[in-house]
Amino acid sequence: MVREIDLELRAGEILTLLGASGCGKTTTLRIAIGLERCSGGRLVYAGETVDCPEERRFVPPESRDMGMVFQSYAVWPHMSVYENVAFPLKARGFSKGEIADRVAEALELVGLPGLQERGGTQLSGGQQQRVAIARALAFQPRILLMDEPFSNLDTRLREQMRTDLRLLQQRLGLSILFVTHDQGEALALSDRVAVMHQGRIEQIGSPRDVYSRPATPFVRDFIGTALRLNGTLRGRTEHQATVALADGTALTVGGSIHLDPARKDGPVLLTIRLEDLTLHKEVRESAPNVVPAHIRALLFLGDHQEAMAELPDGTVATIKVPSNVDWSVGDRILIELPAASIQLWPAEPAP
Amino acid sequence: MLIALLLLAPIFELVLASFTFDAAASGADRFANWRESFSDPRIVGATLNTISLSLGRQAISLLIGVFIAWLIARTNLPARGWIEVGFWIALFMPALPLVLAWILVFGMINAGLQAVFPTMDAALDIYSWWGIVWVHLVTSTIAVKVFLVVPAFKAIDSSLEEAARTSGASLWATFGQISLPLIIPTLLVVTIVGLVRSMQAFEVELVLGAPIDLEVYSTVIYRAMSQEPPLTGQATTLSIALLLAVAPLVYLQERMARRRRAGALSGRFSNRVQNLGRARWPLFFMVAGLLAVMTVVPMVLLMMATFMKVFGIFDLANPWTLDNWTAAFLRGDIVRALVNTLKLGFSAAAIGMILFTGLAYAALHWRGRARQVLDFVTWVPALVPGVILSLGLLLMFSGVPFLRPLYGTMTVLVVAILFSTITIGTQLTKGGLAQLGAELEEAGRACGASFFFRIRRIVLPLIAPTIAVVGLEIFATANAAVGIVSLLSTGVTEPLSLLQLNLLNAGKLESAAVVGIVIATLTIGSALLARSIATRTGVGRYAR
Repeated sequence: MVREIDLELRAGEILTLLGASGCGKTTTLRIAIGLERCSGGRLVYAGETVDCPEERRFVPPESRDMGMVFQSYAVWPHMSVYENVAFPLKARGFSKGEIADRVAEALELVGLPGLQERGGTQLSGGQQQRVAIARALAFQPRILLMDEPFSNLDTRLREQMRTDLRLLQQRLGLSILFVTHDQGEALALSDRVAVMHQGRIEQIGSPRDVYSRPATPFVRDFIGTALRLNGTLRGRTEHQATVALADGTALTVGGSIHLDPARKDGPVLLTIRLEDLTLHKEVRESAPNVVPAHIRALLFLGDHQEAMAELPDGTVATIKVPSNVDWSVGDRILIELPAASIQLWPAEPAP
Repeated sequence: MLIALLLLAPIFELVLASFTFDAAASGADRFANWRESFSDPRIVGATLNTISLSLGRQAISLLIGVFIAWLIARTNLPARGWIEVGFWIALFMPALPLVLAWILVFGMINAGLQAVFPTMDAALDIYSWWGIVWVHLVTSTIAVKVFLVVPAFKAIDSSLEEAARTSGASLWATFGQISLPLIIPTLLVVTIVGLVRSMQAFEVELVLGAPIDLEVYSTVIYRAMSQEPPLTGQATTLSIALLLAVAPLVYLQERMARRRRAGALSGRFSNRVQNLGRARWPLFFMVAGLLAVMTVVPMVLLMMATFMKVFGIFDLANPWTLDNWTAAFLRGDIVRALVNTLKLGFSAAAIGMILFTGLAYAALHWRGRARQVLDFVTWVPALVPGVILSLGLLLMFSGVPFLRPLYGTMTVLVVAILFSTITIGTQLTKGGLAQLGAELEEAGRACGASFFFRIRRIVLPLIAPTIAVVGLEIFATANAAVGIVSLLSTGVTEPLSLLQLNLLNAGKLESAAVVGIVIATLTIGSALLARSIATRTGVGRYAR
């Protein structure tokens, strides 16, 4: 279900709609191509209004000239690869010779030459995926819409397809509207990411922005993992704040502050990305922004180790440490929280 | 093995009789019946009629039925759920009462036209090739297509259609190039089933073909047996010829149906419907109108006919009367036939429910040869036309010494009904049992429950809705059956359906209409009950 969306797909970019299932991302995509109609508002494609209930205007999907790749691939089982890819060209009345050229070109593009006569169902998942993309690209649309296209592939193939798609998009200068629930995919692939929640866009920005500077608590919790600490606000200036933890440790906050500007005290929530934390063995009493902890468990994973560090308030943080660090369970350590990486939020009621 | 023998015995009797009766009785020329039958020009005509009627019906009903099925399954046709139920009811419309209703409708249309254009001849003649095709189309032929094709369309992943729309194909191009080709395997099976059923058709041809000497295979067989003395030799040879013609089709259908089951669809599945746009309401009125023509119109007119002094004549001073109903119930034959029909329906249903459950259980639990034999023998009756099964049973009950005392009793009719419902009944119950899975029963076994305890306390309660549906199906079949019981019933055991046939043949159309209404009420009532049990419990939904 989609409540309110204000979104612009710019020429030559990959814009990803990211969100949990049921957040409205697929519906947004289906409205974009006209498989579903919006109940209000306006959808403009290349300067032309294609869906606007107030003006009783609706351009059906077959006339929108956008390519679409479905989650299930939707490769027609009763047609060969060639017939599948040729279909959009036949529907547009291309000549026989031109169809043959363009099909060959499209299959070449997705790396599937020589499989033209194969039946639609005699293909592996990855091949069906490529046929679906070739079919969507065959008539050379300016826009490609992709609905969770990689979710049915195994991990290795998914990463391969991700790279291939990025290269293809750059080569053809395509604009792609991409839907996924996989944040890694969204961050790796996109020029911009729109994080959706309950039918609205929570935040839209570059992958780096969305990851490092979440604008709302939802985006903060949805993307990546963060260490959360409860504290009390002790004082603040325009760009900095001082917060005391339960055991009295004082921390300086230099990252984004998502608090009412008038607030000067009261309970707050600190968050910091786990990868921004640094662990220290030797105790330097005077060092700023450090929290004592002790190691509860240590997992050796080959190229790195995972240390589970318990803080005085009982919070456990799983932190990567190099594999050559020689610690053991029970050791007392210090966790350093760089001020610039800490973000400050209003306190949340305990779940 | 005993069941196998019992099931195949009527067919064996047929073959035997074709070489021993009438012309072949002397023993000098065992093939005399065969030669005589096939040099008879009437038989050649009947063959051609059978073929042309079958093909005509199938071609038209496929076109219309598939389109309606697509509308129901894949588009946003208004009230499509109700329309689907409507076609399901149409599927159960008993043929003979509807023949009567359509005779009336055609008469009314002709009278109406002649009132406007006095010089015109009767425009529509129901006693004709087209009349027969029309009555078949509106009784069950279209409804069967809709019923069988809707599930196939529903099984299509809608992204296959949406991919076509986004590729630039219009709604209608998507229907023609994507949805339709995807269900071709189903269409082939449905066509073959339809052809088999058409070749077996009996009562419509019997009533509407007689005045114009239009014979088909089944009516020739019936007439050969109902004249005095009966031409058993000819009837049996023709029966075997028809069986041989139908057998390859049934075999083909079985093989295709099996292959289709193997190639199941996988992956993420969505079934969003296509938007019909401006055509939505016009199409709704067309389909709803057709449905009304198939169900409400004939039923209402048939009801009217029961209150008419003279069937189909409206311009009397006072055309209406209650005499038909009072006479019907005073005369006693209708009441007796009703009692017979109810006896037949209830006993066949009761025995069938137990028997078919046992067969289905065995078919699922037996292994190897025994199971193959069982599967085969429960399929065979499906390919035998009703009249021929009737003939085979007649020969069996009159020819086998220890069965002879049963001849002319209700038992014979019950056996006939069980024969004609064994395939569908066993299939439905098997579906119900298969859905259960073996684990539920095995869990009972692990708990130390004995076989009968498991059956009684675990299996039966769980498949009770399925069994109830089977029972109602048998009951509905018993009500409307004509061909299967046509040669087996004597005056004492005559059920409603045969009484109606006889009233029709005797020209007592008003009384026949009364009987028709009773049959239709019983059949449609039990069909609706079965449907509501099936949908509420979700069993046997598309198994019929």
